[in-house]
Amino acid sequence: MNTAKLVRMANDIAANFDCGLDRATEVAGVVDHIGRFWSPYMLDAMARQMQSGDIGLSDLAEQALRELIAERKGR
Amino acid sequence: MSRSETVLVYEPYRRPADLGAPPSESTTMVQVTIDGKTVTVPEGTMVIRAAALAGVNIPKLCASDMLEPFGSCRLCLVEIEGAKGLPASCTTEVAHGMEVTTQNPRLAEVRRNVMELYISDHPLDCLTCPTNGDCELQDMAGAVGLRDVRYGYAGENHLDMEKDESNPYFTFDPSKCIVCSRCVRACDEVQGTFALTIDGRGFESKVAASQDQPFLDSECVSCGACVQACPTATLTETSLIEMGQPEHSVITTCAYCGVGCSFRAEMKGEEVVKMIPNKDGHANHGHSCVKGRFAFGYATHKDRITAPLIRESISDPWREVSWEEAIGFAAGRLKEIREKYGSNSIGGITSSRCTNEETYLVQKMVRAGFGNNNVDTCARVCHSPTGYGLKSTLGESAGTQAFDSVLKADVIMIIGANPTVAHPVFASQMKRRLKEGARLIVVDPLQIDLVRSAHVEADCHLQLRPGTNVAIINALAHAVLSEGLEDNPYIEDRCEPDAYQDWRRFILEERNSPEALAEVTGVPAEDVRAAARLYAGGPNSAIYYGLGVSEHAQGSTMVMGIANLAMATGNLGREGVGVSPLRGQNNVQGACDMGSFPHELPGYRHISDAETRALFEREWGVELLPTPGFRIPNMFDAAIAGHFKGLYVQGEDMAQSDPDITHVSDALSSLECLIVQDLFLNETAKFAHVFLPGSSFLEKNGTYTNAERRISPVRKVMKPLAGYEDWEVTQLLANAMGCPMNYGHPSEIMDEVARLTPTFRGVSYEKLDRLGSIQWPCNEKAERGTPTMHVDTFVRGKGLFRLTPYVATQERSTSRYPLLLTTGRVLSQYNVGAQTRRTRNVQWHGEDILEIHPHDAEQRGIEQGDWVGLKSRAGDTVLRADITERVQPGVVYTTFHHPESGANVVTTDNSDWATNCPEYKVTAVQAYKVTRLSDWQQRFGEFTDTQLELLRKARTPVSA
Repeated sequence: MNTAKLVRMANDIAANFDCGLDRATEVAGVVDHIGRFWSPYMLDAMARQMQSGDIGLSDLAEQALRELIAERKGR
Repeated sequence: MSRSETVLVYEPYRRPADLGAPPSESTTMVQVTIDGKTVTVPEGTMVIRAAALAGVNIPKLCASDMLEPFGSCRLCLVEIEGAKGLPASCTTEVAHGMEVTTQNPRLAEVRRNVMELYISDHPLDCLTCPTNGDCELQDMAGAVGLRDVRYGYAGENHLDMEKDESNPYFTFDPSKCIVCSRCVRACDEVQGTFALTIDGRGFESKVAASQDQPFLDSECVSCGACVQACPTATLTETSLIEMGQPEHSVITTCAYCGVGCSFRAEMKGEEVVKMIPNKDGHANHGHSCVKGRFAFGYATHKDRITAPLIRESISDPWREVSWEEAIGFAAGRLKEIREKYGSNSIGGITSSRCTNEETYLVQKMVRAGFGNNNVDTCARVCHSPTGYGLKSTLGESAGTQAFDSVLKADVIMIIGANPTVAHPVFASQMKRRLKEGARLIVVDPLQIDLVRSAHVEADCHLQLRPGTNVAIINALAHAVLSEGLEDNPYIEDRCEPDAYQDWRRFILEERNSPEALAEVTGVPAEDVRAAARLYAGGPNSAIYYGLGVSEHAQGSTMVMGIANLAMATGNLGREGVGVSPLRGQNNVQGACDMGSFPHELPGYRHISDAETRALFEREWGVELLPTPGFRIPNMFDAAIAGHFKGLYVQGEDMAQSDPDITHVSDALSSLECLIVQDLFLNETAKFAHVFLPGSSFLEKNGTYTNAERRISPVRKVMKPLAGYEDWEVTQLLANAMGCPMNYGHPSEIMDEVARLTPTFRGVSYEKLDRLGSIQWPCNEKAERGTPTMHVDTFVRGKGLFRLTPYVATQERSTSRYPLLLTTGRVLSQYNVGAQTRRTRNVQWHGEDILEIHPHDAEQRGIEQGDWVGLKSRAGDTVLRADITERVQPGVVYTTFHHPESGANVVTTDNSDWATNCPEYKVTAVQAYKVTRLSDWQQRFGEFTDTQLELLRKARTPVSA
């Protein structure tokens, strides 16, 4: 799957939760959103890509995705 | 009737009753006596209506209960005890204790004399007249007992006046006109277009369209209200002229826009003679538009495919096969793919053009039969942000009001919608309220018709730059809060306090002020503040919005911003206020309600909710996946990546309607099995391996749910051309996929929905038959449905203010792409045009046109009608130019009703952050003069020719 598009989607989501609240709330917002709407297949594709280093995710998007991926592994 | 005969249903054709004057809204009742019969009616009722309610039909010609009292024909005269002369009963209000006589020798004589004058100047060709059998003039001649015309027929008359047959759907024959003005009043009062007038005086008086032009060239919008109002054969449906009077009628629901008008299909056997808007229709109250009333010819168009088709690859000719073979082939292919590529490799797409029952079955088949949640619907590309935004703030993914609520609104704010072309029947109702004095705010980059049209002018037009919606809604909210115009008691009582405080702090930041954002939006701060004051002042302020809100990179944010503004000003939870999304297609609301999004089950319940899943697992007898499936664009991306291989598509045409068509075509070409179920070989079907012929709304039973959550019945008036209703086809495929379904009638599907969905618990076909239509939620708490939502509390409990930071779209004008393209609709065409292009509506809009401002055109040397190349980072196409000031400098506009115009070759994959709804409303483009079609258009033409040839081969019998 075209991960560049997934990166853009994640960054767009993060930008819309980035509104000057405390960081934990913002991360939780992004985690909840991606968890509710992304197919696990997309998350897995992202996880694979993220292992290869910097793929252009914003800080907020990256932090949220790392949490989600860890949570998915933990299941 | 012989003893062996059983009458099932026989309802002979009858003209619907007309009580002669509209109802009075008064709650004070008065008692009157009509011909000795006592009747109690609201104060303000006209005598003619009171008489009709008492069972006395007073002769009339100019009076109608659809129109305001007029009093010109002098036929409805009565005697009133104690009153002088003979007052017209259509313009005389009842008074308590009034005694009315409707018939005696004196009245009979006067009426006969009146009719005698009418008939002295009327052709006596009743036997060959189109309205023979349904003519009010003929009926009145009979009712008054006219036997002779003493004046003769040789005097000066209008019998030689020429017919106007310019309109493809109705004929104007002035020789039969009695100048009762019903057509003119219907155009003014019902439609609100003011296209007709009575030209001349006295004997010269005649009905004229615009400046005495042919109807087709005039301002007439062909809604047909005048034809319906005409009591003679002056304005007559062409279909009636060709076919004669209908013999029975069936109430059904229009298959076009989200207004969901109720119609009487007036039938002769299995042929539709005419569609007449139902006066008891709760969404449309007897009105309609050119599409619903007239554009039904596609249902019997020669392009309909009436036998299943299959082929191995898309370069092969189609082969006509039996249903059994087609279903076997389709299911076999899907199972092979699933076996080879895994359970996530197949999915289904349904459409807002399908009934509730059909979309419910598609999502059930995908979840329970395909074994994944890869199901989506075309609301993905229109109103998915509405679902997300309203659910997260108010608690329910639906509009808050009934359409009738607009009649109590004091301030109407229209954002990103063009109701007079996309939702014309509701627009007429809105115009009625505006003419009564409601104030109007329009927020739109375009000069939509309502900004300034006959008897309507917006108080504020915030003509913002495309893509800056969130900036404008934040600026409006800032103005409200900074000027102390919010409704504090409402907020304290109804909303979550912490979230409100966060929002308040955020909105009051200087960056959200109208002054700070003026640079971004292009709207002067003072205009924003004036609009904010008007909206907050109400007292009843209502917001109506369309795809100009949802189809943006921040579509969902904008929907939340709208909900925030309505909550902050206390404009939710009663009539006259609210947040109302105007849905593009007839069943957008319903398709979403039915669980056709990949992340949620029917009734907007998330697939991860174990309790809800258990409910469906018990009913369906399978285990369901707890994680969301693919959305449409994800399906395309996965197809291009080689992981998604099989797709079932019901009633949707992504290859025309979805953005970045080149990308869509690549995705469709990557599939190993594409199954398309549709009326026609649409653009998507040209990439298909299996074609399953669908049935039109006239050929099946089911329900649609309109933009006001109103569930209305769709009723079968003819048998399906290909043998099966669409839900039956899905059922065949599901069974072949090992997902057992055994429904005998769509009512059983609705019963299942009701069993499993709290908001639909009280819905049944029996109740729909009884009530006509039902607005959900309909359950134990609201047995007859719910016109207004969130009355005492919000569905989610306390209203939630969500923060709405403005994030500029990545589609912005650059030196390479200096213009912004925005897309929309025209009145005569519907969506991808598959239906309306196959009707005489093409006379109004035969091709898509590029609207460009004179300044931009001049800079580029473009003249009216020139071919213009339009290029974005996604692709390019060529359209003809229309130079107009309707668009701002820097903005160009087009529609996507014709596939070859390629508007969506130019639109990009940019989409709403929350829902992936495409940003159709903003694409950075360049425009330049050209002399030939684009390469894409040439390839498109060749591909279309090839595919039509492959279809012709299926229809040509192979010689042995």
